[in-house]
Amino acid sequence: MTSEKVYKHIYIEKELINTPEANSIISKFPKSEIIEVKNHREIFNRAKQNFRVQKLAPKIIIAKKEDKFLYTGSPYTPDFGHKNHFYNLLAVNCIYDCSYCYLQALYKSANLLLYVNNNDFFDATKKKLDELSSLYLCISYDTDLLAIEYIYPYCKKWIEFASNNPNLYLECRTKSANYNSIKEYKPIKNFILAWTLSPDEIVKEFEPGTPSLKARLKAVNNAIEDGWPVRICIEPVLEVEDWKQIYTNFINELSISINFGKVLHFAIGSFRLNSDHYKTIKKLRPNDWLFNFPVEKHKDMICTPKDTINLMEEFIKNEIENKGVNGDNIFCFK
Amino acid sequence: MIIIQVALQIEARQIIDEFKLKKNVAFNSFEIFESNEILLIISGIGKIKASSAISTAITYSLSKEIPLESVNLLNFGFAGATENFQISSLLHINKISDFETNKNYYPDLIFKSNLEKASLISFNSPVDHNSQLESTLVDMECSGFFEASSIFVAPHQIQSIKIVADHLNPEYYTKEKALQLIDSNLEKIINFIDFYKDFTFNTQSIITDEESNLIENILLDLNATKSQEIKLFDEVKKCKILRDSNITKLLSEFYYEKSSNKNDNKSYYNSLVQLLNSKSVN
Repeated sequence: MTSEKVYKHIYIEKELINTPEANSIISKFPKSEIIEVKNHREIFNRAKQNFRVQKLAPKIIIAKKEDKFLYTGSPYTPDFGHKNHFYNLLAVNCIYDCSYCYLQALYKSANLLLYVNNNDFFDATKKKLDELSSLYLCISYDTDLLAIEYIYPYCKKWIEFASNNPNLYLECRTKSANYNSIKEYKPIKNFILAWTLSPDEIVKEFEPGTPSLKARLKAVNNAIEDGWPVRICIEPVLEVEDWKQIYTNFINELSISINFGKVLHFAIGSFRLNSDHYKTIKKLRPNDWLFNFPVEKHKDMICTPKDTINLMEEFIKNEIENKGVNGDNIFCFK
Repeated sequence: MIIIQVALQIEARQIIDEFKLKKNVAFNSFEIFESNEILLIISGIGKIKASSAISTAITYSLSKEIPLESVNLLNFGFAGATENFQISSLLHINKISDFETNKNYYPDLIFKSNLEKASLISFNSPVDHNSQLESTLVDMECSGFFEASSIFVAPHQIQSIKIVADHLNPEYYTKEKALQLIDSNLEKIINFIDFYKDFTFNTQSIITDEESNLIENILLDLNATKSQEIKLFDEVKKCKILRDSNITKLLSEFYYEKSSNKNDNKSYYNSLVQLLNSKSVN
């Protein structure tokens, strides 16, 4: 016996059975077993779940979000100069399994929770937009929407919504190479594709299941050339052995593969986690390099030591500037 | 290891024989049969008896210093079923509902069992064919087993497999029929138990027994406190992960003298931590 296949079991809230949204998800997994639940919380919030074990055979949970369709952006997450920074939770958890990911501490379950009542999210967003006249909304924080676009077309729905609301600026964070799933759409300036990129050495060691740097760069390049606003996020910057050489080669590879002149922003971010999350993940991954390396505590955050991160961010910023990028377009987050 | 809870002795007989389990005569509240890897407890009928039995078995395994992370729990036995399930089918339960409390329980189905899946409803009393039920199995223990088990372990460590014994007609099977039902599924049951008893997620320390002995000897000689012990193990682990150092050599060659002076011991301890730290970073 081995592990079950990914998404072999789909849990669905009773009231969503036979709805078009649920059927569209289920149709992608014809061999999966469907299990009815009263409410997603009775499966997603169970006590004592083991995130690492569940990553061996994750399930899908199809649910309806009842409230909280918008959250105020945290001071630890960047707003890139936008006013009215919010985020939402259209889906929770990710198909990837990055060692440093905060989701493994934030949630009890590793299962992929998909909220399918998009109209409730649209209504709440529209109401807030009318109230504030502009909004910067991050829609892919606790998940990777582009990576799960084949399961449920969140990006398509939100591109359509943003097309009709030009003062709504959406950011869609991703590590996916799945640009083709939205390629058919006409690019709009208020749907920002924010690609997280890392040197291949880091991808292989700390980002299991994610597309290679080469595959991501191909997707980034296609999106840029089609006219989408693209932000390049280099994070978490990690002090691996030979990091200077590794990040020099990495920036070179980026500059060869994509037109830096057309990149909306560059963002450089250090390794940082809420201290409670850090403790939780350390228990889950006691033998990981990342959770044994020296760190510092600043208020309620665990970070790479300040001197190290200043040195690394400055180094990477210089490498990018040396490729002709204006320093004002490069944001550093500690 | 695995703890198997069954309601009736007849459900246990072939498992006891197959795995050569020995009766533990120290228990008189419940019958317990065991080997190094398997503990089987016969609870009697009903949810409360099932929950009491599984709690007893878990407490017993804890008394033997078996960590909860390596204990998997299995509820096994006969179940009634609606007519869409064939008599003598062996099924892996994916959802348990308690009829009386209306609560649901979900085992995490992480490993591939090759058994067909089904949901189950646990009742306080026997269910007859007049009940208005749709496509389900029924029993009188599983929700109690799951509720009690959930206090101790993760949902991937709580599983149930059931043999369909009747179509909501509990008088249908005799003792001979019961043995036959298990016999016809015995190979699949044995395979399930064999795999499930070893299904653990390894987050054990990377420190070897040899390294551990060396550390413990030093700690003993230096009359170290419990917090010093935890810190030293952590420093050794970091040193191994970050620098892949030869810890055995480092610990064997670490110079210190046994002393009854607290300050001397502390000073040796700090030197060792410092040494490990200097090996831990670039």
